[in-house]
Amino acid sequence: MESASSDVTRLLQQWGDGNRDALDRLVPLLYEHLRRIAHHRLRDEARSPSLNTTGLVHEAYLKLVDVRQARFRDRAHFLAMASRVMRRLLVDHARARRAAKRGGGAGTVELTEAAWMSDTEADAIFDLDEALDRLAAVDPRQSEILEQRYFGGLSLEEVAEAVGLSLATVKRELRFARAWLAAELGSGIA
Amino acid sequence: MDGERWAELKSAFATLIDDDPTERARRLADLASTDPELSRRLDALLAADAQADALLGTRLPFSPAEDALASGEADFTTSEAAFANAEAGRQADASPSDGASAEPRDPFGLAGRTVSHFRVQDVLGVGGMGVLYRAEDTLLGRTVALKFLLPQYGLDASAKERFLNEARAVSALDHPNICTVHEVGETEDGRLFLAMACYAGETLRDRLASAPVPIEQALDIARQVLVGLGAAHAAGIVHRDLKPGNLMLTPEGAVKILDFGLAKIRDLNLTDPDLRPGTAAYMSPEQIDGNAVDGRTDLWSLGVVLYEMLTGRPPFGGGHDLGTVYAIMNDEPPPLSTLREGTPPELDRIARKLLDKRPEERYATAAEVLEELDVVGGAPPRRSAGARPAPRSPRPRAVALAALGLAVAGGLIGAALGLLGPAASAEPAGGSAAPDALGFASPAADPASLAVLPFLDLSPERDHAYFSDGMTEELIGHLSKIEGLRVSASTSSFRFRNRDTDVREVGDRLGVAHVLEGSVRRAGDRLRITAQLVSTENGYRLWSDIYERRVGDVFAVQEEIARAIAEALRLRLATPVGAPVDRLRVTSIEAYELYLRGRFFASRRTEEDLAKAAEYYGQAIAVDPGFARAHAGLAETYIATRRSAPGDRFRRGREAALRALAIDSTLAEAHTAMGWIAMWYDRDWSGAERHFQQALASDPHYLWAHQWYSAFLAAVGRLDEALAAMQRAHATDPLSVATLTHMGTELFWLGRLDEAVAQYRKALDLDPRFYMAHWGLSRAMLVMGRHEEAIRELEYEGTDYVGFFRPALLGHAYAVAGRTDEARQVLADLHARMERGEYVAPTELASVHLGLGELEQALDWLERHEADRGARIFLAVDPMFDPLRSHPRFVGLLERLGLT
Repeated sequence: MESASSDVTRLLQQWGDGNRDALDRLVPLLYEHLRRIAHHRLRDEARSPSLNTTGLVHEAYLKLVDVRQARFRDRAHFLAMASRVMRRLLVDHARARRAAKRGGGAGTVELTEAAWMSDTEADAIFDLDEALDRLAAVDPRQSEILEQRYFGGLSLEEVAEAVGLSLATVKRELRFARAWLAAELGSGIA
Repeated sequence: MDGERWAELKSAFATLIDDDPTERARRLADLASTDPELSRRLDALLAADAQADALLGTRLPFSPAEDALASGEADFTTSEAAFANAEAGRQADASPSDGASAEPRDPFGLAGRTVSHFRVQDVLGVGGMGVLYRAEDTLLGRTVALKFLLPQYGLDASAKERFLNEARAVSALDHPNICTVHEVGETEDGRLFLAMACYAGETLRDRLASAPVPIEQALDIARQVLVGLGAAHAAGIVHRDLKPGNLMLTPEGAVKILDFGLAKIRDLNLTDPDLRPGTAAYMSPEQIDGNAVDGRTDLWSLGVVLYEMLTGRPPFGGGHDLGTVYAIMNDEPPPLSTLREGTPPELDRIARKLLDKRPEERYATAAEVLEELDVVGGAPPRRSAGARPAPRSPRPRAVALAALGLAVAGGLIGAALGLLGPAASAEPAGGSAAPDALGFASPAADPASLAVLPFLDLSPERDHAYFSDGMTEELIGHLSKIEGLRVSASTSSFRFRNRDTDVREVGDRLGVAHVLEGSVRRAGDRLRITAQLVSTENGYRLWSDIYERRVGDVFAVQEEIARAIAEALRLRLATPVGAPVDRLRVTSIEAYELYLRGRFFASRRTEEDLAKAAEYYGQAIAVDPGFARAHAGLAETYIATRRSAPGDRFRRGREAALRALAIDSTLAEAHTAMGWIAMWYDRDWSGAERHFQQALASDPHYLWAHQWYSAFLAAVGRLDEALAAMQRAHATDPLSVATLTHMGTELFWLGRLDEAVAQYRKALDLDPRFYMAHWGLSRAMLVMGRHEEAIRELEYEGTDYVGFFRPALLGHAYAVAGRTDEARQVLADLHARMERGEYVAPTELASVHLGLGELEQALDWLERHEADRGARIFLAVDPMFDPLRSHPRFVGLLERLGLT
């Protein structure tokens, strides 16, 4: 874990300094790590089999990054990126769940892990994922803010740091984005 | 939509969102004339904004906490600020009064509305998990705090069930240091809420913001929290979120732990605001790791709270950074004594042990911490100082000290003398309390009074509760025989099953000067009993002993203990007390054990338990046919069941009671059973009275004899005597729900309705499910003309009603309230029950007809009741039958029953 920690810390710094290759190496590391801790948690908490996304993203930070060496800005970037990875992880699981239900192959996710979420939750994740894609087409920043809030569980302050906006602006953007999302998802039900 | 249009839409949205609805409508209308498409889109978005909380809360499996409450008619920033303030008050460093520019808002718009049977008044606070309202419980007429969970805590069915179970477990705790949860419920739209006691006072968070906490007070708070935690942990409940914002300090100095087990709901949910600013500071390393947690997690959090009370800040960070979490996992906080002058070195060690990162290195139980804290604080032995800040009125300690010195020799008394010495000479001698600072004489408990707390079962498997409970009851029996000593009934003293209750609280609530407590460890044939006598005035131990015996010697030990107590108190009291009398008369330990098991189940009173009890009593009798009390127990279980028709119940009950009396003609239990049968079944009033009086002569403390004698007196119209009999029972059994309910009923017969209602409510405070109290309350309300209230009370589901009582009274209530169709439906249902072969007392059918004004039909049923001998013997005094009072058929009926 020591070496993973210093690896991630170093990659995070490089990425923060503008090195795109660092990101390419960070993402799979993080994906695997999030998957493992989610799996570990759910195994231990069999009585409440539900995903704790906020906890996971922050826990990943804690375990993968050497807090003493990381800069605050790096932390925000990490959390933002982890939100994206978390989104991908959840969508993969939702897909696996759907596949498992149809009796098809489970894809990249082990079948047992498909039990992470209920069908309703899986559907909600698909809906959210697709809505965020549509939003990204017209307003990538809003899509990003929602992603960080819903998949990463970032606080408003953390979002502000990650997207480089003032807290007030983030709140304004978020208000609009949530209304838009509510309208989207609402019409999806009707 | 292209970028330009999108930007337009966003800008217009930002402008209109803060407008009031009229202004908004005007602008939208304006816009519609120039740009109808934009207007339409805006309108849709503004509508969606208003519903975003509700919609996203239910549609998405996870939703950050701050997002909720953000929209609606509220201004976003203000709402967020109010939320943040309340959060800060509960969780971070600021006091809510500091920056709370806004009054707490009402995010759910519930103020002024009625939810279930609660009239919501105003918002008390907005917190991380929900909104807290002040509300009036319209059924019970008390003020409660209602906590509504935020929409994102909407749970699926199974999670909800688990949450409700947990909340019910918490509500069963009934502990002075734990916030009382009256009820958990669900609104029509599926939102969960908790009804809790509403305390005056401030949270420790507020307290910490105002001034440093003196070391003594910090220790007292820690002790009270530990006592509460101990009780909860013993019941298998972990708090998981202990922090200053969850500790309420009442003006009386008591500490109430709030939100017990509520953190669990977060684990049942996808969303987890655990790591939100401020909250992390109190999390244990294992919580952060996502590992399973137990009571030791709460001990860690208490360590953090203790540290913060003494140093003004939590040991690990406390800011808004994940650095806090890192520190919790990795850092050792500096010793307390380096940060707070005057910290006893012992406390350093305790805090360090509480804050050990490995749970297995921490204290295992709250009781262990308490013991060590007591050493630091010089508190009374074994029990914590507890919630008692108000100065006690001076007591005649000189007398007590003289007695102490004589009663027990040894170092303990020496220590007690040393502590009490200075006060002793200054105080008046004599038995009654001196006036306190305010000039009021506080009612001192009669010095010759005692409560026996349930002896703890310390057997290796902890599976001998029936044995330790039985021992306790036997001791109560023995001690009750001591002349001049008033002993609390087990129905009251067993409410303090948790050992951590402050003895002074026990003393206050039961009105006793002494408490006897102990433990029973049974392994195979070996028995180890510890017992100690503690003064409720000051918590000091007056006597204690350990007995190592064989199980077969259990009767001898009980007697020995009773004698020793008598001894100890005789010296203390200077009035002679009689020697305990053996009351058991059983020859076989095996029979005795079976009997105890029977009694254990019988005390639970459900039909299943009564059936089991009858089985054990039967086995006890098979082993020792001469065991009178087993026969009497059997009689009681037969009578108490509601499953079969009266004829069968009373016939078998009578047979068993007569067998008991053939062996022991004075046995109180058997005479009580006989009195019961004479009264309810034979309608032999003089015979009933004879039996009850014989029972009370044999055992003046036998509660059921008091209760049923009182019912008898009421039935024959001797209402004042009935009330007096219950008041006598109440004196030895102040916390028995049944006693309180019976008192309410005697008051009801007397027409003292307000007092009756108050008694029923007291009973329901102790046990909100107790159906007899609900039933009594509804009857009183009906007579008071509060029909709809009575109906709501009867429709309330959270009770332990069985059988036909509730539907029948509900039918009567519908009828008198003019809801005739519903009353007829009830009649039809009751008939259907009868057709299924279920027993329904004819009097109950009569009551519905009475409500409908169908007097002749009512009388038909009542006359059938004459033959059937069912439920009601109170025809002469029950106001429900007033419409029939002058009817010749009714007069004839009462005459035939001997009730005129």
